[in-house]
Amino acid sequence: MTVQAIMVLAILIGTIALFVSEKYPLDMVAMIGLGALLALRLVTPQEGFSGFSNPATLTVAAMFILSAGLQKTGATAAVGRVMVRYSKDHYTALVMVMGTITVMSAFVNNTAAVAVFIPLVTILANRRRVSASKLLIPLSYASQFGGVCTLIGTSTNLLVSSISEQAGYGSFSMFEFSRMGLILFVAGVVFFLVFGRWLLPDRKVSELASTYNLGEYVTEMRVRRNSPLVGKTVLESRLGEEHDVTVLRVLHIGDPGWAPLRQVLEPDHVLLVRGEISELILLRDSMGLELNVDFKLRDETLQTEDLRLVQALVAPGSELIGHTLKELDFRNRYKALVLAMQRRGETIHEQLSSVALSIGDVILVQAHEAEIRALRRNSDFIVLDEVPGTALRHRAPLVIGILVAVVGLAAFNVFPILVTALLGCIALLLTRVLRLDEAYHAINWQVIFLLAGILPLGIAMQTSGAAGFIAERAVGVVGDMGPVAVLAVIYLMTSVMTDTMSNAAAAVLLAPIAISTAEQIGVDPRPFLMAITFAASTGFSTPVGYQTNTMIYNAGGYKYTDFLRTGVPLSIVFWILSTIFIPRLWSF
Amino acid sequence: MTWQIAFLILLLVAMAYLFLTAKLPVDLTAFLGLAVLILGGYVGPTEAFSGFASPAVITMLAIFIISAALLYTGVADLVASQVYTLVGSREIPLIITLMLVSGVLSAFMNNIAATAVLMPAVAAIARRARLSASRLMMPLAFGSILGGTTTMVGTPPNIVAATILSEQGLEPFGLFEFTPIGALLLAAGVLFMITLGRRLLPDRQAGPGETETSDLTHIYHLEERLFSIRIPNESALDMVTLAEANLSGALGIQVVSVLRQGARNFVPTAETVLKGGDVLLVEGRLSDLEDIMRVGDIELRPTTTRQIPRPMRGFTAIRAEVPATSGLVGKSPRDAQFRERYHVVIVGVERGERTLREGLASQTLQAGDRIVALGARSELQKMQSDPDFRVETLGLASLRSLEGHLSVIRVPSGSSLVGSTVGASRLGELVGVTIGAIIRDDVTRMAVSPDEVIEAGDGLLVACDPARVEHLVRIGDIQVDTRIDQAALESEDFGIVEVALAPRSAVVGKRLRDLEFRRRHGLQLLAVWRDGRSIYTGLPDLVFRLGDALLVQGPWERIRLLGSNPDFVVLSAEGLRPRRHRKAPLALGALLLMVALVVFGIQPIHVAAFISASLVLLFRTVTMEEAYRAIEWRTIFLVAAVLPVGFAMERTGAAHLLVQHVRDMIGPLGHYAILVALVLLASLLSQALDGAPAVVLLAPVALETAAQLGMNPYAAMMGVSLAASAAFMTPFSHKANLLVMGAGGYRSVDYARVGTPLTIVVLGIVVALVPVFFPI
Repeated sequence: MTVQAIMVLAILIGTIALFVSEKYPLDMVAMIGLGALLALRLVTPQEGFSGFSNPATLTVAAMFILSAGLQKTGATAAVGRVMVRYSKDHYTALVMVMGTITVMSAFVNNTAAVAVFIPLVTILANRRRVSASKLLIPLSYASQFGGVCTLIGTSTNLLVSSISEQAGYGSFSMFEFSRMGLILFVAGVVFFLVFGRWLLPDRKVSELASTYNLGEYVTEMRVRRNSPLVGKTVLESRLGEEHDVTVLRVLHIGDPGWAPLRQVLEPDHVLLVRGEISELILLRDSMGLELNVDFKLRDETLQTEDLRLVQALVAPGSELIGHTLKELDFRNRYKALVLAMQRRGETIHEQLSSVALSIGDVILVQAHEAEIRALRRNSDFIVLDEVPGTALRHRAPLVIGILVAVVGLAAFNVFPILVTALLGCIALLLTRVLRLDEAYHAINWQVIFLLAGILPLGIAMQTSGAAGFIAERAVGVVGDMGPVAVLAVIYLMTSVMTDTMSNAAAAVLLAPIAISTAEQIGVDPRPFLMAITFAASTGFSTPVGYQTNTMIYNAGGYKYTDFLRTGVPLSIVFWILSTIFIPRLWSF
Repeated sequence: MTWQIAFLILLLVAMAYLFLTAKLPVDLTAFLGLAVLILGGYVGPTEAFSGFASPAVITMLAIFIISAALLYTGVADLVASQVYTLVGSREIPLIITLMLVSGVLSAFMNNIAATAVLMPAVAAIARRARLSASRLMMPLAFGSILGGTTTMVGTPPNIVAATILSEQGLEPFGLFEFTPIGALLLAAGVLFMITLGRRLLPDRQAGPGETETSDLTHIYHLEERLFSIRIPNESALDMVTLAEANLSGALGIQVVSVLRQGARNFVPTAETVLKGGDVLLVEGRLSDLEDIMRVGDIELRPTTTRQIPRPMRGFTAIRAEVPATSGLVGKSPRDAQFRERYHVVIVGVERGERTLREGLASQTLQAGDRIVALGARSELQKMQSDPDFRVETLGLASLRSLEGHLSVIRVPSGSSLVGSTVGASRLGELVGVTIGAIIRDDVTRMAVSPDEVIEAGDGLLVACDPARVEHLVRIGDIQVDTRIDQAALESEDFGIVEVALAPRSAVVGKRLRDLEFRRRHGLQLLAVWRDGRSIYTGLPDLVFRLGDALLVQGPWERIRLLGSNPDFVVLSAEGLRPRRHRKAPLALGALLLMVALVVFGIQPIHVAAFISASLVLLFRTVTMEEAYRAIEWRTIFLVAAVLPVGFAMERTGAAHLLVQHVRDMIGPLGHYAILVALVLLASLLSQALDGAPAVVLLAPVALETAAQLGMNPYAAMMGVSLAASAAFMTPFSHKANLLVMGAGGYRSVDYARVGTPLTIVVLGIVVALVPVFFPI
């Protein structure tokens, strides 16, 4: 092994370690990895920067814009409404949810489609008396089945296609994946119809207050005659700063409404407060407040005629990500109180204002109807009970037409997908469905920079011989078992890497190895590349393996183990099916 | 000339037309051009997109990130904060220092970022030195533009020029090859600004006032518009929220802050409950207010449908459902321009059990709402065939749901309302209801137009809660005081500051109303400075533009919060943001490493820049989000999309052909004339287009000319790229100019007056010096 190969391997291992550790953002790791490759001259500048002009990277960027256009017309939501209408019971609901999301996400990027569907599925669940947790995991998984039905369904497809082209094995056609995708889709639906009942948890969302265990944190306190708070306003009492206690309402004085900061406290006022019980007991003694021991919290206590309690999901691409509620000045900015938060299957009540928000967090929000409507229109949140109407509904046929043209022209090889996607974007801009700033905003730069940064690592593995080296060792172990066994191993490796780090990274890193392996055992690498594509695009087993999983994690009230319990068996099913069918559809 | 060349030239002409007229956004034009090139087979798909990985784009990308690192670690602030202590308050030394500081910073930073980061410091310096901001802001912007020309990475045109040279197989410009000429240009610029330029710079302000606040209120002519009103103890406004009091709608005034006995001043929100004894500091036109307060002499009487006199012939009422498919769902009557479109007046909206009667114009209609409206029968019948409505009843019976809520406002003969039009009476806004009809001479005139003149003895038919109307009519008891206490405007907790919009601010293109500025930021927007004058009226509907300056009042803590918002540049010491000062050495180190890698020839510039960029990311001097925000995507995409046009011009021979024709014309005049021509052309193009794409489009011509006439290609490219940077003549020719426009209170004329001579000076020096360093 050459010195270069050793250095490339070192960078590779470092990159993977950083990916898995989740200490740094993926895009940053990719950029730094690329910087290292360039500094050590492991790639030429031209190779190093080729990621930025790679058709895969640019097509993904263009697809973000096309998806945003479709989103804006509300077409996705309209499909979702059809789904709600035809779902009668648990089984039809499963089929409808999985069917519609698969079709949508075959053409629209998965996260965007799932973001629109989450509130719809919640509504459906409420209406049909099915618990949402029975439908949201199927939703997330099915969006991934959809992703592997077409070339543009998900970024990894485009990525592997472009790697295959660079290695001289030709790119993939628009519907090359479709047959295998359909097999997996059918298998997935059958899987959930048969086993879903046992595997999926049944988390009935009864009352929000009890779901969030608010009862332990919200109680009533009466102001005593000798209380030092008498005569002060709620703001002046400094209960929030000093005790992390929020006064939600002052009862029995008409309706002062939302969080009455300037209400002057008087004896016998009853305060509805939120805070830790130990703090409340402290207050009882020091501030002359009386705890109501018989208090039972119900949703109605927190909702009045127009004060409502809703759950809101932090949307992908939200500007709030990484900021704390305090930094955002959430209370003033949105005129809404955050009562609790769901994150990674846990409910957070304490020190809420200093928790940095991350994608998929669900916050329990109390606010006036008008403010909730404003939240609903805000693309930083997905309010989990309704889908906002869109103003551009009449442009939906136009945008769908553009999308069909983009896919059709590419499918019939009139132009490569990148060119048709560019034309599609220009059409959206010229017809003013999107403005330029909206288009730039729609592009998820994290994904673009991740792809652009990680692609050269694949090139470096190939040119330095690192890929060959690994392939040699691998062939030494599994080479004698025949290509089908090798395929099974490659699928398994990709699958494991996808669940623990980024799927795009897994695909880029394993593809060169797969190609070298195929060359060494003298078979066509295409089936191997297919295995990588399918495995990398289907990350079922962890809530962090795939972004759609993260999005439904809290919305469905899941636990980490729920993903293991449903994801691992389904992954095994897919693994077996892929090992059987891929060699039939793409012969060695 | 082949048809291919003809078509390409046609395309170029079309693109130039679109660029110059700005009919489409320039980046969209560029992409359209690229698409046509691909479809026409001029470039292959791979080549068409190769621009994204071109050294020019990568270098720009990396420099944007490094520039962000210098910004976020406070390297730039550190320099700026020393200026005043070192230089003092005299204007000439200040101009010299500021231009040099911004010039040196922008040698390695993005020019726009360098300008933006220095603006708060310059505003603070101007204030302390008792100079008008207009004396320093333009020198600042010009300094950073000129400073950009001093290195190869300082400004996109230089980067692009170097890349194109290397693609031609020529050795690209070195990092410091621009420095001698660039430094002389900067020096000349400074010299110009302290001599002639200083005479041409406008002085926005009549004379320095006593305090910072009185300066600002003076500049914005706010003295006449600020006054206070006192709410008496027994007033109808006692215990009413600001939203209910509807002072802005009814009286046309904005409440700036509330002075309450025993409490700190505060900026009220819509939910603030007013109390008797409160003094409100308000902004608006006093005469308007006085007009409206005379309305108080009207009398209100409840009425029933039966009591309404017979309507004028041909007029009646309608009750119609808004079906879910209607285009009106989700819109308010005002947004839908209901009155203008259907010529009928909505007097009530039934929603479920409730009937809405107030604030109808801004009520968002929902599916299933039933609207009750008055109008001419012919107009109402048109609604019957309109798919946006499902008409349920036609005729006066439609008013049934309003039974018990109809009132007639009697206008006595002495009322000040007599003689004013319905629209001008502001009665609708005052009471929050729509005047459905006028009862005059026992005839009910329905759907009166806003231009109808009210006569003595008229009865105005309105649907509303009588108690509420009476309540609001009694607003008249407030007491107006035209003298205001300076302390009410500014105190320890409260202040007034000027705020500029940051480059690529998310606020640009939005309306104040949509931004909910007051609610979100807890600050009051008093006025907007645009095109050399201040705007006070219609602020909620004003669409923000880059270059606007906002006058904002509120608590200091909120102002500081606004200062940390990347969309705004607060023009005072509060605008200096907390920075990662400890990491400043790392950012500087990464920059030095880049210079070293290039100077010692270890790496080409784009690789060196990228390595530095990945280092500043690794050191966390900037986060990825900050980096993405700092990248000027428009410039990147524009250059990436235009680069292939350059290839195509050359490949098809279009450049060759173009030059052949021109050569015969100016060839005999010598190399010097050609340089002059190129410089003028580049300067002209860059006034309309960004500098970088201008260079991309001109480069093939420049290089081809040089090749055909045996001229030094470096001289040609250097001339083009330096001339492309000389964008001083309009606020729109460079983003840095636009950025300081509001903060300096400039008008477009000011740029023409100061910028034109400067452009001439700069171009003259370019033409004179380029041949010295690169013999032609």
